[in-house]
Amino acid sequence: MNLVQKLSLLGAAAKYDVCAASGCSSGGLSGMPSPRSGVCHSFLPDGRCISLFKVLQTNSCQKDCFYCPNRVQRDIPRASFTPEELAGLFLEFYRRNYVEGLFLSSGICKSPGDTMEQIIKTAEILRYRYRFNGYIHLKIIPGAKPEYIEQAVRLASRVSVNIEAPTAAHLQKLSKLKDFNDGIINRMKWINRLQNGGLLPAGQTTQFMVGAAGESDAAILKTTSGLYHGIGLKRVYFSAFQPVAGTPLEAMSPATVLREHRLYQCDFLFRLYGFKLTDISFNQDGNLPEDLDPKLNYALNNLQLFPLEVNKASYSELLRVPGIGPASARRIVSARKQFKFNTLDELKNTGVVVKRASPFVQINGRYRESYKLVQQLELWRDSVDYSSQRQPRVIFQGSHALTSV
Amino acid sequence: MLSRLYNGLCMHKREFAETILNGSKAIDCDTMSLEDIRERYEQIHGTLEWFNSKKARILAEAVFYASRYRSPDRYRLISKVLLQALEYGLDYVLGRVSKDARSMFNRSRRVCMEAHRANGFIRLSPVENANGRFMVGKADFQHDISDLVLRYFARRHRGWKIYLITGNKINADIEQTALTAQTACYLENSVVKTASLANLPFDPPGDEFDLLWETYYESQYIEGRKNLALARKHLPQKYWSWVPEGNKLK
Repeated sequence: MNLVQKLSLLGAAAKYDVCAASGCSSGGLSGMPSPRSGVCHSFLPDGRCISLFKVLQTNSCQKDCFYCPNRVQRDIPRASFTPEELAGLFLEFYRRNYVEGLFLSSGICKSPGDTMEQIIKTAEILRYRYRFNGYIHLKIIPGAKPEYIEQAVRLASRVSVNIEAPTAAHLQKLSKLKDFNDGIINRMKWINRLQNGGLLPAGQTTQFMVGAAGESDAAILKTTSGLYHGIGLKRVYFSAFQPVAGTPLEAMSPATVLREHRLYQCDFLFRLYGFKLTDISFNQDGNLPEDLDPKLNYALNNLQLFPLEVNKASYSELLRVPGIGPASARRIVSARKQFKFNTLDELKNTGVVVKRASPFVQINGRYRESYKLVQQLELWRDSVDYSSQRQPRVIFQGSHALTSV
Repeated sequence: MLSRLYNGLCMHKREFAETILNGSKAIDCDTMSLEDIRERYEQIHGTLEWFNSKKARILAEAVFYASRYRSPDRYRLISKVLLQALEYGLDYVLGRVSKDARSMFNRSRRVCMEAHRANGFIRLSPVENANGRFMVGKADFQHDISDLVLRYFARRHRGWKIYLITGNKINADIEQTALTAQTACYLENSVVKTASLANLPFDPPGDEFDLLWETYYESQYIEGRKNLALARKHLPQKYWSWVPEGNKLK
């Protein structure tokens, strides 16, 4: 098999992995720099950006993941890059400014240890032979031994172990051979301990396969919140399940991109807006409403908190208003020191999406939006008996929004 | 500060030449140091402690990028905003409360975005010959960012000389060189220079890696998620000729 054929095969095998060379500060104690913000080098017809050379070392795999195009039982052409081949190919792409860094994953060929050795060797060639000091994201193979993990952490800007499902029971529906607690969660904890020693400037991430195990959004977000607080993950990514022909899940419906989008919105609320799991409301089936963004849903379920006076509300209160993000909230609080907001235009200038925010704010004690919107707000008020509620509205008793993380 | 000291407007040389103020006396800012101006300003209008703050640096950065926005009124807008900063304070301007401040920050953002996209979308081809090692790319910029982009690539490819081949549009109002339809710009001692294509120290390269890239690009596409509108939003049509895969977004 020639290089072009290998590239086509091993590139396609990695396309469902989600990654971004962002969300990290430059440099780090390990001396492995990482970009401050992502530089996108191209965009695919599906709208996703290409910033990293995302590829598998090999698509030979011993695992049986029911959703995976590389599963052991599937009859497909198998190929592998040698570490020299892959490092050289990546470097040529990098020199020509096609990509910003490398995202290297792999099927599990022979054993997790053998696979990790190949991955590490590729990274070592780049770091030591070619003196490449840019961004490298390495996948940690579930079940890999501590010494491999430590070496990968030393070489990489970021590492990740794919969690795939929110609980052990859900993972069992996707693979009979993967061990949720020991193979995945324990590895994440080891990485976290190594990271605390000053390695990994871009931190540790993970990825959920959304919609393949029949899991609810509430279950995914509960685990997500736990991963952020308990294991110190930098980012959690979500990949909407797409059925692959020749796998046990081929007849299953794909998860919608909108569902993935709503999960990302909640993820941003957790990380940048100070929301907690209990602030998120779910439908009866434990999923997020697809027709309403989670922040607007929060505001509608907590109308007792609104309208907020923009000249008095704190930064964290402003962040709860739909249409106001961290940047505009910061600007409002900063400008207020010497200035009093009087008009919606002034608010708009700070970057607020006035159309969304206006029903939930007052400027100098008055609504400044059209009567129609205020009327709409009153309709929303009628639909919720918020006077009796101190807590966010939880639509059904089994919701994870009621349970502690 | 100069505007307030001299009770006038800051204008670019060309702007100034085109106005009815042409006969008035102009001040050459390049002959003054910032510290001198500051000292004189503080003598008349009071201290400028905020000038050393982090916020002032944010404003300075925004001014830096906004001054590269190609528009006849760019310097006029910047001086208006700086006057507002002096009068109402930095927070007022950084909060983008006034229309002028918002407009200036928007311009700054657009320039940054163009530079950011250029850093991502320009493809380079390596050439090595007896004259040295060169990385050659093609680009056309809407704003004055060629030096920023050249410096970015010079940092990324140490030991290589970066050349960007640009169309007539890009450098049409650079004053120092008479330009042909296509020129190349490059850095020499940190200054942007231009040269005609006939005088380049290498032959314009082709690159066999385009095929490998297109193979990889095609392998990454997920049919079930097709969203051409989103792709076109992030990779607008004007960049399609820069990248080999541009025709796939048509």
